[in-house]
Amino acid sequence: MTDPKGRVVLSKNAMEEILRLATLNVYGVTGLAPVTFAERFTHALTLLSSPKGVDVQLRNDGVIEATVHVRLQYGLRVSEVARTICSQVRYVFCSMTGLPEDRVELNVVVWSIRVEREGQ
Amino acid sequence: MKEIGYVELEELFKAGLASLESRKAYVNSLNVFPVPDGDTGTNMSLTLKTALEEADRAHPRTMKEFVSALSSGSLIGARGNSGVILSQIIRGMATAADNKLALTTADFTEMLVKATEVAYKAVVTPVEGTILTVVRRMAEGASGLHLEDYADYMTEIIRIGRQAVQETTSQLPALAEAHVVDAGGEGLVTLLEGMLMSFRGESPASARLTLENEPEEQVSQQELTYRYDTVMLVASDSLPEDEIRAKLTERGDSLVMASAGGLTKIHVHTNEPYDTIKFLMQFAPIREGRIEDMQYEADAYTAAKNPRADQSPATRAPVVGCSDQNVDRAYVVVSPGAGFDEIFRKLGAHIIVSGGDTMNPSTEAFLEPIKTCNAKSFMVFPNNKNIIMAARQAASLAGKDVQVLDSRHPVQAIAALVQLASCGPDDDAIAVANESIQATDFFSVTRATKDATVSGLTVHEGDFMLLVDDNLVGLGQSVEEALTCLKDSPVAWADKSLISIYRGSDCADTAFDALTETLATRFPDLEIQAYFGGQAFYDIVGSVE
Repeated sequence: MTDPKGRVVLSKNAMEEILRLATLNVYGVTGLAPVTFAERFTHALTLLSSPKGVDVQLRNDGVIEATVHVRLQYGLRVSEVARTICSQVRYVFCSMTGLPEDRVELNVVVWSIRVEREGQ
Repeated sequence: MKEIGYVELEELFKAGLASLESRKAYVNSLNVFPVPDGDTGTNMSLTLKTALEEADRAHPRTMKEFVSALSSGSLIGARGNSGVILSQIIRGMATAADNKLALTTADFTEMLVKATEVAYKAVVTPVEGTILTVVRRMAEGASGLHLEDYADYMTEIIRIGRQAVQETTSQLPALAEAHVVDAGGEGLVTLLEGMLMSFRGESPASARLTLENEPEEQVSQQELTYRYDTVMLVASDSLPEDEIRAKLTERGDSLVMASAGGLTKIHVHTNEPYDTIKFLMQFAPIREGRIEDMQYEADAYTAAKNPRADQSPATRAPVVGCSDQNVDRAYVVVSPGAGFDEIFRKLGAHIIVSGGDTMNPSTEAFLEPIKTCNAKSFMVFPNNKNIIMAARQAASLAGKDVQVLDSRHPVQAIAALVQLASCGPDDDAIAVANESIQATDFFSVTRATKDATVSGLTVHEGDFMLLVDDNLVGLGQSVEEALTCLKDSPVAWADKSLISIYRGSDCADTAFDALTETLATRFPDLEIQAYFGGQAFYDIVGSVE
């Protein structure tokens, strides 16, 4: 972003953090999932580490391509929750960063479904 | 009534649905962003409707069969975020009722508690001020109640629920900014109110009982018998209730009286609010009062919801079948109004699907016509950012060569179709279409339905807003004033040569001509073209290319 008096730089890290928080606020999302293979591996070994869940790429055409990897609660209509993630997270992200909505492409990967036994 | 079986429970949910249906427009209007595209009421009532249809189909013979059918039906039918949450609430209620033959009020409390538990499970960081808060508060309140009669019990639950709904405004900053209560919470309490009315033998179409200081909703089109919603707070708690009741119901209805702590609140619908005030002042001084014209509100809602009955999307043929079976490539477009239908037809669109804001076509609406058409390939213009998903889903299910373009407004599809008409068989049609979609900025003018603060601008209800590429850029007291803000909008004017504007079904002919003139003087370098669009909600939409 440019301004007559200086520059505002939004780091990938900041964008990922915003996306993480916005995603975790969506109804039906019970957690984020590891993104890379390596992360998946360490995640499997040490259950305590909290997965990153978000991947942000800046494409050559200036579009920010974000992918969120989520776990959902069992017993929900997955398509509707995914649609809510798309609209809600994009809205929050764009209103916080000031980026126009067509500069952001948001993908949702449903990584797993959290199942709980009755009475747990 | 002290116990209910599964037959009664089904009746209760049906009454809840009827109540939701009757207040759908109001719940929809409780959205945070001022553009009229809220759909919480519609989503909740459709979710419950599917659930009940599913339960009906299962022909349940026990409580267990009924609640499990209802629960799975609500899951299948869940629409939108509020629908998903409602499905969890119903699922929770179902698990608690599962092993019972009949339900006492204590069982109902257990259902509410379980509903809260299940609904909260699906969210990591619950925020206060949502439908979740409302269901939790009702469950907590219910746990402290020892009322055996359902009517008394429900009255109390609803009172707690209403209170919780009122408080959502102060709990969530976004709601406070828009001066609204949470739509999902309102929907849930409305559902329970329907249940209460069923216990009382009333139908949701009759006057609603309310003790709250909120506007009475009437969404029917006909003239109201009693026009003014009158609420008076009288400084006495020992008024002759029978006398007042007799006198006020003589020339009014929906009377509610409630006394507490030296005050009595009297709520009545009447045509002579001045007589009501005069009459009440005989007994005690009036502390405060409020009079609302419900006819005005009803008209405003009717107008907002069915801008012009003959042109509303519902009465148009929803899908125009594939007009030419033997084309190589068929264009599928989503059109928001009669005028656009006509324009798209002239531009050679083969399949027209009606839809737009608040009226998103389903995946099936795309799938059906694509399946029945013999064209070799299809190009879909969703024309709304909320419809792109459904179109993509249809594309993946169709089993044919279907391309979905990223068009977010009908005017972008028009630009693309014009370009496509002049392109040869060897050109890359997708690239041509995408290029013209990218090059077309779209704008629209609509009325704010709520006070709100958006992108640093303070919007008042009734203001005309100019949206460019879906972002609010200007405000005005008239369509014209809002439209003049176009000049200052972040459009790259240097490489633009044409402005097209499309008249909505709410915009008068003469006013439209005047607008075209204004634009012509404002933008002397650009060509202005004007058409009839017939879209709802938006007085004007247009494109710059």
